Amino acid sequence: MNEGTELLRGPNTSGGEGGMGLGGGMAKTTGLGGFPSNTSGGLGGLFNNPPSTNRDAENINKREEVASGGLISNACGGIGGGLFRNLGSGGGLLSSTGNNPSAQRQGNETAMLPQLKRPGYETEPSIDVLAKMSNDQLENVENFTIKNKHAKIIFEGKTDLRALDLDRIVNIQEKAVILYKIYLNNYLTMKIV
Amino acid sequence: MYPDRTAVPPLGKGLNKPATIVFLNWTLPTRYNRPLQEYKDKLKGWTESKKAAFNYYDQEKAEFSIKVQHF
Repeated sequence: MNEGTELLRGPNTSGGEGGMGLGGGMAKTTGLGGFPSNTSGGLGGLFNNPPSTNRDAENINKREEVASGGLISNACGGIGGGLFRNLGSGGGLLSSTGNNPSAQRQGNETAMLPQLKRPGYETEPSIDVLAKMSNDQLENVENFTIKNKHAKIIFEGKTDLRALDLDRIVNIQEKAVILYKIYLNNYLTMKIV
Repeated sequence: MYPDRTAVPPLGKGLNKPATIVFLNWTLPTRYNRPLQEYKDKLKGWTESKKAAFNYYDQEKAEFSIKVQHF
């Protein structure tokens, strides 16, 4: 169908965790046809669990103890934004803060922070440093860098990081970088051999 | 090429802006025995076919770097 689909196939057969997590998320949010959801385990499986049935809710609650909540919100629909929209059975902490006006204000400020929860990814400045920045500072981050073990991407000059859902926007695979689901890949090594 | 075009912000917005990409652990293909320059030329050709600019390929660091104007 498109190159993005091709990419999704790669990590599923080779067992890359990060790829699977995003793969599940992409399939969920964009409705990519033909995504083989049953082949993904781990995080992918988590994303594909609808939190509607009792059995699944139980599963999710169990996993929440391990997964510290963030993934659960993602599983409920949409990465990042789901954190504040989806207050399913597992969202005890968030739903209690949702009714409190002062906590709500804090929530809005937090929403301006770039989201990056996927394992294996780091940024420069680090997420911890970004978390301390004002909105004005977040709007003008010099030479923002995001990387994992496969590649790093350095954005030149000032980057507006406000409210960017990096989990959803950036996908770095071996010899492939995807931003906004655009596929930049290289099969040259295979062709040359 | 653009499966979900609506999700891409306009040029210069968000992360759709000039960036340098450094691929790490980019080793030569196994059993590659042709001149290194030939491999670099291949990488360069691929890079330019993607409308990006070839920065360098460093065999010792196993790094391959390109520059894109946007995504």
